[in-house]
Amino acid sequence: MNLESLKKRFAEIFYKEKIITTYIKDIKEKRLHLVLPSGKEELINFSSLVCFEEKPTPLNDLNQIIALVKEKNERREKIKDRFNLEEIWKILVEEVEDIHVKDAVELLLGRIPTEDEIAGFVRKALEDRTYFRLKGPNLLQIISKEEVERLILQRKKELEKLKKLSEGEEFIKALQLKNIESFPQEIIDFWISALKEYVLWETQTPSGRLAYEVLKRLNIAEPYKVFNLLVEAKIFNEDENLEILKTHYPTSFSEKELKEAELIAKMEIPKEEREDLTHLYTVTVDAEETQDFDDALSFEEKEDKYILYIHIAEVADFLKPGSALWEGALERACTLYLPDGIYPMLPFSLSHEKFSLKKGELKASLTFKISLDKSYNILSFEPFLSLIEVKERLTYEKVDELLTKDPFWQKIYEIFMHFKKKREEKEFYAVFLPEVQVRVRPDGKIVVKKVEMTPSRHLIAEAMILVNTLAAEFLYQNQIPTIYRSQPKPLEIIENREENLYSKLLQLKYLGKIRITVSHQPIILGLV
Amino acid sequence: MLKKSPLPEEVIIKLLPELSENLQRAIQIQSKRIKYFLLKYLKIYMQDKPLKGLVLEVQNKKAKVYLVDYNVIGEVMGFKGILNPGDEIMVKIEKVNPHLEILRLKIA
Repeated sequence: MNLESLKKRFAEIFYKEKIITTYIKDIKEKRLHLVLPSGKEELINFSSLVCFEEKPTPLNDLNQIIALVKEKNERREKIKDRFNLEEIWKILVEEVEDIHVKDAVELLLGRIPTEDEIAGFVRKALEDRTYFRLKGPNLLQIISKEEVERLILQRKKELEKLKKLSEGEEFIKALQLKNIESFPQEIIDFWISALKEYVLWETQTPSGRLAYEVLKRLNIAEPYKVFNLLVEAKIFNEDENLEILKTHYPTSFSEKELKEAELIAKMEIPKEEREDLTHLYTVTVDAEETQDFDDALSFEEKEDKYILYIHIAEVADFLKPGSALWEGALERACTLYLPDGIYPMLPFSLSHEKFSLKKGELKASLTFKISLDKSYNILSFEPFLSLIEVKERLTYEKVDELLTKDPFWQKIYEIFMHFKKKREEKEFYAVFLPEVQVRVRPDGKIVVKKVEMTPSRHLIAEAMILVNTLAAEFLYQNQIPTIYRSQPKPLEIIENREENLYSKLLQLKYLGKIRITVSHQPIILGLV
Repeated sequence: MLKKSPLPEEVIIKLLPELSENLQRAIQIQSKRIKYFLLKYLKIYMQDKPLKGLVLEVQNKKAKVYLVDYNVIGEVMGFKGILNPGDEIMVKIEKVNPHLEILRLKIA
């Protein structure tokens, strides 16, 4: 195209996302020297040209040019809405792929159009973007039927989305003012759910993404701000456990699980397959606030040996693979002891009743019998199913007291400390830090308690380490498939790590990650 | 010995990844919840009170400090003087936000 021929013509150009009328005063290389309706003069690239008048209008008076440009611009803006694009497109789409703007408008009007009509039509066509596309100055491409259908659908969706976004904006504004009652329930439910999803998963869900777009407009897109908004609206509690919601942790039991639990709770313990150990002096040792007792201890001193019995509440006999309770237990993986509540792996009727080794009740147990000679060498290790009856429910504090005066407990302690020493002589990397217990009382008050490792706690910890190690060895030697929980050697070993708190914390940092596997792995507690 | 047949190894292998993931989830929920209430406790009861701290790491003018009585780690930023890992110091709470797990400390 000979650009020089464009000189002294009125033309339509793309300018700041709009189409405006200009006067081409001059040509400078590939750039047009234009007079804009504002009166400003600018050099604009030729590629911004949309269409130009057929004949030049030589003018020298700048004021006259500005007045004319302004006048034409306003007139063309008004004219554009007269045109029905779909009507002309329907005719053209069957016939041609592109058309000169003037020809299209002539076809539509049935007469030779004015320059203003041509410019108005092109403005409308390019703003609408559904039926026509600019192929070159004064030349329109006719968009195919398929593409038009797709564009219409897309526009419809965009429109719906825009509607939804402004609905969301109105809703959130109302929520900030605590005034959402006037909204239909369906809208309330939708936006509350979208805001919740945004707090929990940000933009990972479609509703969360939609909420984000609205929140961004309102400048409150930080999830924490939205959380506070939902707290203020009493949709979330101030202490809402977001992690539970985020990870879909099951906080209640299904009807099926509860039904199965009810049946199990009523089941008799099959006595014929179990060794009766109810004659033993069996105790549980737990914290004062413990409500479910899953292990117990008995001890016998014979003439030539000692016998330790460590009993674990026996669940496996009652829980069948594939049952709802089995699947639910796998999903929960363990009982959650949280400062503000307990989420048991099994319904309370089982975890806190049937399978809890409560004092004075006949209970099914898996017993590990460890026989030792008088020098504490292990003579035998024998796991078997049993029947037990806990004679005393002791607390750590009570056992600490007994350890100062009762030879029975002092002997048990001596035995376990013997095993602890043996572990310490080997490679042993356990780090004992004071436990900090955090509880929320029913009145909402938070209580923080530092729990030191007292002798009774060491005793029970050692009992569990010993029995777990022996049980793992037993399963391994007898080739019984099982799940081993193990921890690889630390990445770095801190010398004198027991010397001070800093060294302990440093060692803790280098401890390997605990893993569960089906193969027997080295453990770092020092017994194997 | 246990008079019961164990779960076959292939069954255990099949359920292990899910179990492992679920166990991690449970541990994560537990530790986040404890931290939340611990920080809330510090916010309600321990603002402006001197707390025993142990310096764990120092980088530029930023130190990670372990609160000895609360088993939680906070940050001291822009402190004056020199801090070294292992130093026992007294700190005060500068900013705490349980929801965002923020615990910013200052030298007391």
